[in-house]
Amino acid sequence: MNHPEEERQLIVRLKAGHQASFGVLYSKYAPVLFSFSRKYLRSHEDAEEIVQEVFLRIWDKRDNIDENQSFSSYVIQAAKHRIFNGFRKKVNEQAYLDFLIHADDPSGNFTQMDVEYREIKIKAEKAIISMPTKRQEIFRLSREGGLKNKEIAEKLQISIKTVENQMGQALKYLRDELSEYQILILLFLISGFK
Amino acid sequence: MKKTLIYRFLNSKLTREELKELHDEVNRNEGDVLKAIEEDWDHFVSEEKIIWPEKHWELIESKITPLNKEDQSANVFRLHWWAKVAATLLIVSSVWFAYKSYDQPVASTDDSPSMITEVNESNQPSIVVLKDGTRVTLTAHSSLSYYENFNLKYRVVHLEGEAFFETDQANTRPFVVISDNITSICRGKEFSISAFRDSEEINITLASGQIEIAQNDRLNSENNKVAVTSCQRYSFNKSNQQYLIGQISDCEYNDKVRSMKKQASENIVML
Repeated sequence: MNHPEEERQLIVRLKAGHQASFGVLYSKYAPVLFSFSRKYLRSHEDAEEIVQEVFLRIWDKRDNIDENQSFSSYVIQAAKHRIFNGFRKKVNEQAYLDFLIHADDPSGNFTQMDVEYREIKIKAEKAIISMPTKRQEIFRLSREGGLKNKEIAEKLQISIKTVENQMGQALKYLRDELSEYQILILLFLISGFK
Repeated sequence: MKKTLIYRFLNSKLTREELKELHDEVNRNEGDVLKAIEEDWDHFVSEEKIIWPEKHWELIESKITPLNKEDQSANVFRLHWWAKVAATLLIVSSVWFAYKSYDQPVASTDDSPSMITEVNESNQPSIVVLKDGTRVTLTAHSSLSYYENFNLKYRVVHLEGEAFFETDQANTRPFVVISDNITSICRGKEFSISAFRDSEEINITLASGQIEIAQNDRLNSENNKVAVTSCQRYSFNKSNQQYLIGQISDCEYNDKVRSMKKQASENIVML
């Protein structure tokens, strides 16, 4: 970018397994990639995760880097599928939400309870969608998949502590988001969530 | 069209129809969306100043730094008997091989000695960056050669004249510098060697690390090897075949390197 020759030299060193050169490239490109990913994923945590994964991959595959190509384009080559997948997920979620909001009961006969239920469901779904991917996954496994914390930890190969932590944050967040509804109804509905 | 859809989505401005369209695009035309993302990256300028915590790098660093051998040793004992035999054979043969290759004159470990030579014919120092990233500052009228297939175990170079080396992985892949009739096995990160053909002396200066020095034909014999450590200078007198080792101060070395590099700054060769 600014100093192509210097960058080329850094890449050559990186290919030779020099960690400090990798560090220089990392500190230059990680923040940009983070900012870019966050724009597409709308999530701080998800963007951070992408940056870390991408750079670890770049390190693992350092032999394949072409030092005559700009490092910037190499970074996006390594990152684009992850960003795309996150972005697609956001679009799909939004589309699902849209479907929920507009899915009319053909009979047109709503009881007061139906209306309220649907309202809460849409609100809850909106809130769940806006959580970071990891937390969302854990939450859904727990509430929709009916798994216990221990089972989730095993399935995702993370510690129980992390699961508990994430669940706690998810529930607190939902409580805040849905504070206008009575807590009892909320808990009942969330745990029986489809 | 697709790009504006994406931007509108990111700014939460999509209509229902547009959302449907975008939903189709991302699920059917992956390639187009990927291309749009790439193009966006090329023009991307982050609007805010991102503070990227140091701990992120530390995490990466901890993952890319090779693990201690403790974990591996636990697994070895679970091997089948034949694997143990194979491992033993492998260890014995590699030790033998390592011993043999260490014992031979190091310069000849390379079978296909096609050499690359960099000659600095100018009156200014020049910087040569070797394939492994090592920076060599060559003074005027010096030349440096190395084998095309840079040896993995030792990095062998021939030097005529004077050069300052800055290198990495000094411990795992020592530099072997052959200059005039002196061979140095350098396990240091920064060192300089001065060996002009018409000079009476050969000087080897080490900023940090360790160097073993021997006359070319005596490398195999432990008795004739001299060990030089950090902040020492080895001077070999060609006429009486004697050497002296003296102390140098840190800054003496650094000052010299700095002034050399300054002069060389416009003269960079990448090999």
